[in-house]
Amino acid sequence: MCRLLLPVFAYGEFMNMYNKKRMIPLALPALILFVCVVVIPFAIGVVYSFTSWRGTYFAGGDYFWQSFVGFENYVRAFHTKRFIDSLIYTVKFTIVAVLVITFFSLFVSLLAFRLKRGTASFYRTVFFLPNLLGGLALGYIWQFIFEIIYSKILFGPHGLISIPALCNMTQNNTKALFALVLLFTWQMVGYMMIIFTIGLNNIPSDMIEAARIDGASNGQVFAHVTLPMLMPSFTIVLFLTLSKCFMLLDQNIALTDGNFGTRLLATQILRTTRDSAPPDYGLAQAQAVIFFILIAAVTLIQVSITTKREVEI
Amino acid sequence: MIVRGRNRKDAWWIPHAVLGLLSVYTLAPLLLLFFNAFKSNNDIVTAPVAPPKSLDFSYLKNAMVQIHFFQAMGVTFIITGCSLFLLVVISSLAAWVMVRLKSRFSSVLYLVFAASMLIPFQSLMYPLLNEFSSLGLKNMPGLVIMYSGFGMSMSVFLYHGFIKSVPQSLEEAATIDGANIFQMFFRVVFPLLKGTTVTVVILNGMWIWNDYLLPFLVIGNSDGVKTLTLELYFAKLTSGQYGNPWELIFPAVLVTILPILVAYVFLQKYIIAGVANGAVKG
Amino acid sequence: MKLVQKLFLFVCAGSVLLFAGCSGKKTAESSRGYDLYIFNTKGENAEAMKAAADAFGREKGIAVKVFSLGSGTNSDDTLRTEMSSKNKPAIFSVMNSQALVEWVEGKYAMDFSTAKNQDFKKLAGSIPSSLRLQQNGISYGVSYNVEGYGLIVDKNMLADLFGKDSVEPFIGAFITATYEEFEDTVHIIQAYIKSGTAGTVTLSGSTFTLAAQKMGLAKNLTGVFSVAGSEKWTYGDHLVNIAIDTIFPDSAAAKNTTKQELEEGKSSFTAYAKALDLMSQNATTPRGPDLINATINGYDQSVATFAAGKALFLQQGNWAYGNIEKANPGVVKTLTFLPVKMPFTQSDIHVQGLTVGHMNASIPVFVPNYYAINTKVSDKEKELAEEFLVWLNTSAEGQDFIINKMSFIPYNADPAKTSAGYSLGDSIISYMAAGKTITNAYAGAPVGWATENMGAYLMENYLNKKNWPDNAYDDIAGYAVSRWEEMANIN
Repeated sequence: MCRLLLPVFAYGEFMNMYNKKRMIPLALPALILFVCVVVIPFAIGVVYSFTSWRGTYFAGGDYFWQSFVGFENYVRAFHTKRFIDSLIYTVKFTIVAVLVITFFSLFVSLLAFRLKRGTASFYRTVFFLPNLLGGLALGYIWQFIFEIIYSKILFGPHGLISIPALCNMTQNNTKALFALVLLFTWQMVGYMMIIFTIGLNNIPSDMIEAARIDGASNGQVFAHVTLPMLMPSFTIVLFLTLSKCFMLLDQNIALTDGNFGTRLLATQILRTTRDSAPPDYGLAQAQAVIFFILIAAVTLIQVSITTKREVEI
Repeated sequence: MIVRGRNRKDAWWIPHAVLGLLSVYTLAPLLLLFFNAFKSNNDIVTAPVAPPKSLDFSYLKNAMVQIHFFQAMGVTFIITGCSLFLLVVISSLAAWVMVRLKSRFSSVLYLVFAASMLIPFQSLMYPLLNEFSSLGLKNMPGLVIMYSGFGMSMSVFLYHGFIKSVPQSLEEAATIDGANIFQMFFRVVFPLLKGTTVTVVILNGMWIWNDYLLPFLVIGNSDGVKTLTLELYFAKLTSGQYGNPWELIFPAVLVTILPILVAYVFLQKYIIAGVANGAVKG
Repeated sequence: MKLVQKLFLFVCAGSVLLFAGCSGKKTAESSRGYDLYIFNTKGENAEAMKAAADAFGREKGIAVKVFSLGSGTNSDDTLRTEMSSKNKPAIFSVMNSQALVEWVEGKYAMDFSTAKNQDFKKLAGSIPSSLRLQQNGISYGVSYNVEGYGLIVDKNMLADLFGKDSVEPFIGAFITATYEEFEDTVHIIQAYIKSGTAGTVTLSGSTFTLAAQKMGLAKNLTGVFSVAGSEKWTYGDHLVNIAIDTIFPDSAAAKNTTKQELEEGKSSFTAYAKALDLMSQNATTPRGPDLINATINGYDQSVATFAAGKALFLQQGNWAYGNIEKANPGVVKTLTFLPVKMPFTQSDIHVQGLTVGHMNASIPVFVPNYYAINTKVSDKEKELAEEFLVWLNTSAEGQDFIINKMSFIPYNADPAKTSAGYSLGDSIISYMAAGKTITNAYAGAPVGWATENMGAYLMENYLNKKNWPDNAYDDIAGYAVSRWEEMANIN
């Protein structure tokens, strides 16, 4: 194998330079679309966060430059108790949920991977189903599950086994966090399972064979071959889970509507404009920008850590 | 080999037991959805967990009529299909370029794409709608463009992750054989990304199919056709100021997710197709 | 490479268009397809509104576009997006004086005194001051309709409890009864429901005897009130409104309140707390986690409970008629409203001319939504908007649409001559005819104070607990006042 490498490398470099000019235009459509749909609106939104924007007009003038308020919105955001509370709650939730979801989806993927194609597909479909559900129906069903099935039928005082910690989960700050974790794990396992499955498929079986021939036990194979080769999947799964948990909105509203102090950050930002008349969009934008910076920082750190550990063929 | 064999024989039922239990747990809530699609509003509200007294298909039929099911499904299908097509082509190309052209710029770009997945939608909702409205794109084509733009970040992210596992030697071999860039990508690289493409299609397809906020803001108030979720949203309108028409919502949700389910089952086999292991031999 | 070149060109062209579009706000005289655009956020009347708009359009020979959204949906963002676009609605909905603030500040809402159409000016001028949408004395809105709420009761249930001949006398006596009599009545009926102990209730001096054996519908009763404990707005908005009506004469006064006025009104909130205590203690579900459980006591469930005859009273409004009908069509024809009572004394009342008797005998009747006209549309559209509103509210055809098709009670209905066509609507009209109405002053409270603060506080600290501490009433009243002061920045 090695004897072929040198000329291949040299050739690769040559191909790199040759194709560079031809390759760039291929990425242009993506860039343009992205700029138009995401970058420009977001940039405008950031500008607005420095003004007293009211959604349909600017308090203080007809144009946005007449209503600059500097960092006032940001300062106010940090002084808003609800914002800080929802921030802390979101962080707590994210930490728990990311761990649980990543663990479970990896666990389930590994289990299913060893099975025959047909059965594995069946299980994958089953776990994927929850992800199809959203909105009102989802909220109603899960409210029902926690408030009746858990609280009365299964774990209530007259239920199968009495576990107070699992009763009335939507009526308590801490319990609701775990309720949300349960709900979200239920939804996300199938989603992440797909990614792990592809990752597992991409591990050349000859590598595993080689390791076994060398006498490695199952545990060693897992730790030294499977895991490192799965790093690209981990990057993706961790990133997706982190971002989705941090940005969770619909399920939060559907399950508790933010009652009992269970407002996550995204819900808080959404509701900010309903907390005052006239609606303070400038403040909401500032909160959104803070939100973005926070999560960008966290996930970029995560991505760079896990990317460094990736192994390329 | 002996080690492997022993493991297989003894513990063959463990994965099935665990997965089976988890499956029951996973399916239970969906069973509730199924049950309640056949009940009257009163029954749903007073006894949500009980199975329906009879398989009354009238609720399903009524829901389908009220949300103009076939028309709405067609609309949703077109929007989702076009967005997915654009997404797959454009983001796979972009990701490939970024992976192959290892420069400072592409790593920065990669991070920008990844970071944009974290932007909360509300913060760009208004400027986006104003921009598209002044471009005259506050309509279905505009909606498709928006979906492609929003889905781009995740798709580029996914493709980026898996293109790294496509050996460059294949592309070089293709170039030697005289292929131009397009042929090189679409005939050599792209087929190896089947798993990722299917993932991109499924993951994006799902949220586009079920999404209601963007269609609502962009085409919601036009008299024209609506997507499935929009139809349900508007069908809820006339049920009164408070309360929900559950006898409409549950069957409507059930029929809405059926197409994706079918698509998912159908696309399953592509998820397993990974990199052709035989392509790179030492 | 042809494809790449084509792509590149397409992309360049696209970018040029983009920059051109963004920089120049060229509003082309594009064919919008309509002459009048109505943005209607009280969407329960969606179909009827469309029909009315079409009828008007036919008469005038114009095209009218109506966009409706349900009252429960968050229509604000959509409306704001439309207002920032090229095609702004000429008529849009504004819920109350708090919602009005942004439209006045942004210079969208039209001052009715500047209207061109004389009939419209007359119409605007004729709106009774208690039903106006105003800011700083300027009128900005025409009412959609009026709505009311109170204790909904089924006359047939009363017949089974007290005997058929006692129903009308009972209703009459109940309306004029004092809170103490009401309280005793609740306790007696609750005891009757729980253990069958027959007794007599005294209202306004007359006595009514409960049937010795539970018969007919009364057998299903499990509690006096059907309380939607998980719906914060029922007690955080509607119930507390009654207390606020004793402090302020209307929502504008509430909006401009001073700290002193609020502090003086604290005793009204104490009365409110006592009434809430009474109602939640005698509900179909015992007070506790179950009461605020959304799947047992959500809106739909509380309506279903009442419709199934498990509760005697349901505190809701005439909007619930459709929900009740869907749950049990047999019960809707004999429904009527009874007033919600609270233990007020004359010293609690700070509104000139208001008496305890009036408070106890009235139901809140108010305007839930208004039509406003957009100043930022063309003059022609403004004219059409004014004409439409005049036509809707004064012509026979328009009134027919409002009453019969939309099932609304027109704000300018003559109570003596109008019939709503359904039990709860007619009940409201009878209260209007007798002049026994109070208003919705709570709409002037700081945005979010009612449901998200009062409602949430009560739900999370009181309704979920079986026993209230001794200082519960003071705590609730104190919270109501201090939170209002905090949110309105009047410390």
